[in-house]
Amino acid sequence: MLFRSISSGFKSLFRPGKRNAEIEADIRSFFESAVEQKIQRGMNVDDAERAARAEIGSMEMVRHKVSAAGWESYVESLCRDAKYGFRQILRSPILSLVAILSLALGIGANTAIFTVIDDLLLKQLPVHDPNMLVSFGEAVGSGAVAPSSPGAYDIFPYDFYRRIAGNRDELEGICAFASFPTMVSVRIGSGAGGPATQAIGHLVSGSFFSVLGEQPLMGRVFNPDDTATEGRNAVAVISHRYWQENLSADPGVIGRSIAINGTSFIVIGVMPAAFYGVDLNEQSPDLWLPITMQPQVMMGPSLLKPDGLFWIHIMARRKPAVSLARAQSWATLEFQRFLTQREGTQISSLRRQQIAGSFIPLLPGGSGLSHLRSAYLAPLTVLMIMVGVVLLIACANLANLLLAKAASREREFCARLALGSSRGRIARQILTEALVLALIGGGMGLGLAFGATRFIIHFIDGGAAHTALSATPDLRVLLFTFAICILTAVLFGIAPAMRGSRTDVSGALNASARTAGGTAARSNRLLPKALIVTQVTLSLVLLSVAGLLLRTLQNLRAQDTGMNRANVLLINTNPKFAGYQPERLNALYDRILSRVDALPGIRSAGLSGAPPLHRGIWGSPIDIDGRPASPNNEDSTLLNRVSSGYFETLGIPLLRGRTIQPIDNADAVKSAVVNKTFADRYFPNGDAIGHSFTIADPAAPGVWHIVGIVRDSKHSSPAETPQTFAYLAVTQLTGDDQYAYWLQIRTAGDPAKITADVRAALAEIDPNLPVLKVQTIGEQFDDLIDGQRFVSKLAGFFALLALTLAGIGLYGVMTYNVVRRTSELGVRMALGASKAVLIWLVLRESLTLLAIGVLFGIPVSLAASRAIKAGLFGVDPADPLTLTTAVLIVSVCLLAGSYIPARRATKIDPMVALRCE
Amino acid sequence: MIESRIQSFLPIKTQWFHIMLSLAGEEQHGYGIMQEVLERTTGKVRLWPATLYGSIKRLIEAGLIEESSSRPAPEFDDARRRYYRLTPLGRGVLNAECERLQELVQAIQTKQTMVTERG
Repeated sequence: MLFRSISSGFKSLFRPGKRNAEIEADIRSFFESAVEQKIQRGMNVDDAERAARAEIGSMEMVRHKVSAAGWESYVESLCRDAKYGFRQILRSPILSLVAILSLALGIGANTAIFTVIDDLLLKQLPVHDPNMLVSFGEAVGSGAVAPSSPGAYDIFPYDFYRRIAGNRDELEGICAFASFPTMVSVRIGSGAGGPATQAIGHLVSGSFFSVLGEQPLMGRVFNPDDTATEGRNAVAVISHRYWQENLSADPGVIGRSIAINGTSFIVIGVMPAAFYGVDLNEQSPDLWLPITMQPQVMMGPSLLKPDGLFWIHIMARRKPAVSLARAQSWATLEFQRFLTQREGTQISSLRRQQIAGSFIPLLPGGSGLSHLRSAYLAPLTVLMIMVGVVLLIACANLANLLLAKAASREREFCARLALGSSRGRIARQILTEALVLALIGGGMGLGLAFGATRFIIHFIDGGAAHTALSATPDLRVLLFTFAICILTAVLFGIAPAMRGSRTDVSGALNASARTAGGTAARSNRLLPKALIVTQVTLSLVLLSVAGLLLRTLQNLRAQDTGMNRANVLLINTNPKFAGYQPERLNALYDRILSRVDALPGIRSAGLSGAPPLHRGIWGSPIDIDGRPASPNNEDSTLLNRVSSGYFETLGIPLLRGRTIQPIDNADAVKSAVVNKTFADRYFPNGDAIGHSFTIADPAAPGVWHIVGIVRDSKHSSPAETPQTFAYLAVTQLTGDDQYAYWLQIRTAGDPAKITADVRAALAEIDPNLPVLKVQTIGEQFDDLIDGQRFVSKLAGFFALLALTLAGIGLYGVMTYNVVRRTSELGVRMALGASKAVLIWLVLRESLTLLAIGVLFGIPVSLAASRAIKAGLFGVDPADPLTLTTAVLIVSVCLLAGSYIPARRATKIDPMVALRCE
Repeated sequence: MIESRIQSFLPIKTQWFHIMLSLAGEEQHGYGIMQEVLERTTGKVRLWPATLYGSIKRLIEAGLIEESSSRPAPEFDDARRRYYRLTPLGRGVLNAECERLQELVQAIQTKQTMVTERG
């Protein structure tokens, strides 16, 4: 039945002539039969024909009713309405252009932000049945740390994974991977002796790919045998992008040898292009390497030994028959047993209590792990609400423009109603016009969104060469945009549609042009005003929110970071790429520092493991003066390794003792400089210098003697409270931790100008020494506050957009009002009203609307500001300066928008106005 | 299967019922259907052309009636006329609707008897 209805509908749609001919044939046969019968009953031919015609009624009406019986009649009328809508749009091109552009901006902003939200927050990993993946804990933190307090765990030691890996009763499969990517140097070429390039490696367990359910594009993926023995299986699976860009898409790549940090690995597989592993972060891995090759890949001590540090994340695939709660309690129980066994026989009751309070939450892992997700969740939520408000303002604008149009079309609607059209039909027609506008605007918005999304993603990933974030809208984004278009059309079409369908037939047709506008009831003029008030309110809210966010940014920028941020250049290099082994590093450092120091325009230079103002900093528990810390009050510190000249270059003031000096060489007693917080916390008597500490992380063995105390400086955020920090002499470390990757340079003038000189100096020392990144400390600082920069800049942009739209809206409504009141204003002029009086007459209305809008806007702004309180820094949510500025900006913009029509009112020629019928 | 399809149509609209009932005996053209309904209901139900042909279109789409290819003897026929007849499904639906109405009438009669006896 459905099929027949659809097929007959399509036939009618595509061959309307045939359908009409059939109906006509039916009616004609009906007519002839009727005439025939009436003649048989004794009527003459003329009377019979007249009676038959009366019986049938209007041929057009019959045809309409018969064809309306099918679904295709709705499509036909929709097409007719759309065609008519297009004609209406073309009839007033300026109005339509403003409407379409407003919509394009509103819909484009919504689509752009939604694309990023979709990418970062909603997208599932491109793997088999991602909904069945679970993550052991939140797994966003990364690093290598010692076990600590009770609570939820998300980072584990390798031997815990070994303990549970074989379980098949509670979970279908379990895999482990390093909680951090490893930057490695790769040499490709014959005998792996080619030039070194930098790549991102990810250490994963043999079950990694099978748990994700991913098949390779070429070759094979790891299996549990590949990670059965430590250090024995140097194989690598590479990403599709790495294969294409670095291995020239070599079809014979399987079996090729590449040197990773000096160890030769065999490529065994290439992954499909869509696969990016389990991390959705700025950059996705190029290589997946067996976790058992960790010492070779990280060129450091093994993290695989029993009782090792906590450094891996664990993911698993659920069994359909096993409940999440059961799997979770199994994992927690296993973990508590593991921790208990790890403590040995001497276990204090406090530790036992701590272990009992440790647990592993099994969380949905289908969307992968991402530190970006947690960092951008709040900013993106704020922005999504803001762009939603921008769209509402655009809708209010369009509703007003269409209301004005509907008022001018009152006579047309009256004529249509008088000719038998239904009110519903007129409302549908106006809604269709709105939909046509919304769809055109939405199409343009989608184009705008595409560009805007690229810009936003560039911002989030810091311009990374390759990222799993995609600017291309997927089906969900397209559906979102389409839904927004429909919603927008309904929102801005409903008021004009209701107004159009409520037109009073007798009134409007009888009225003259002068009174036609006047017959519009008071309620009809109230709606545009209510919409303007709403726009003022919403603009004020957006402006004050954006103002607070910009003030936050300003405060963060002005924050004292404990160092002198003027004229410092940071250069990222990697001696590994030039083939330096740890024993040759100290000599290299001497050469670099003395060569760079000698360059003109350079005040000082220093080397370090991590740059200043950098989030991913190294940290470890410590023991002060060799005495172990109590289990419930663990001592720990953040760490960095630095050379001589480091503190002088960054302008971190020395408070007592000395800084790291060239005398702190490999043979000398190990020296460390600590910050004030470290000294105050662990040596409250002020006698830190001369004391020592040991570091739990095996990467920094030995006893470190405190030789100096420096001022506290900020690291991961300008808003952070000072944390304990120890700077170790880089020359006194060993293995992988002896590598310094960052060169800090203080210049006399603009640091950007000496970049070329420094590059040349480094090339002179060793042409193979790469310069991977050059940036000023200002840029480094900006990276630190990029979340705030992101939200405040975009918020500022959207607030201005909202204000512009509201300004255009007020201008449109006021212009319409002036035109509507032309004859009234003309009469007033003729009676001697001055220009000032006329301007005041028009402005008074705007001022009233503005005042009401501001009145509503202030409490709403305060509520909105309180909602974003957590994202503010150094500014009160109820900051009077921000709110006053926002009110002033809104007032000035809107008054400018209504002053132009007010001026126009004074240009009216009374004679023309009075003749304006 | 057929039974459930038949049930899905019940109850059918009054004008559909009248059209289908007039096609129960023989094939009819549009005007014939109208005449038959008019006579059968002694002028109480008159299917105006718009309703008649609109309903015929929907009945065809529903698969309850179809256009007939067989024609009456040429002397009684006009080549332009289109004749309609019930499909097997339509006949099933008509019978089911008649039964439903008969049950309804019986129920009404029983009620009326009860009311009369009490009165």
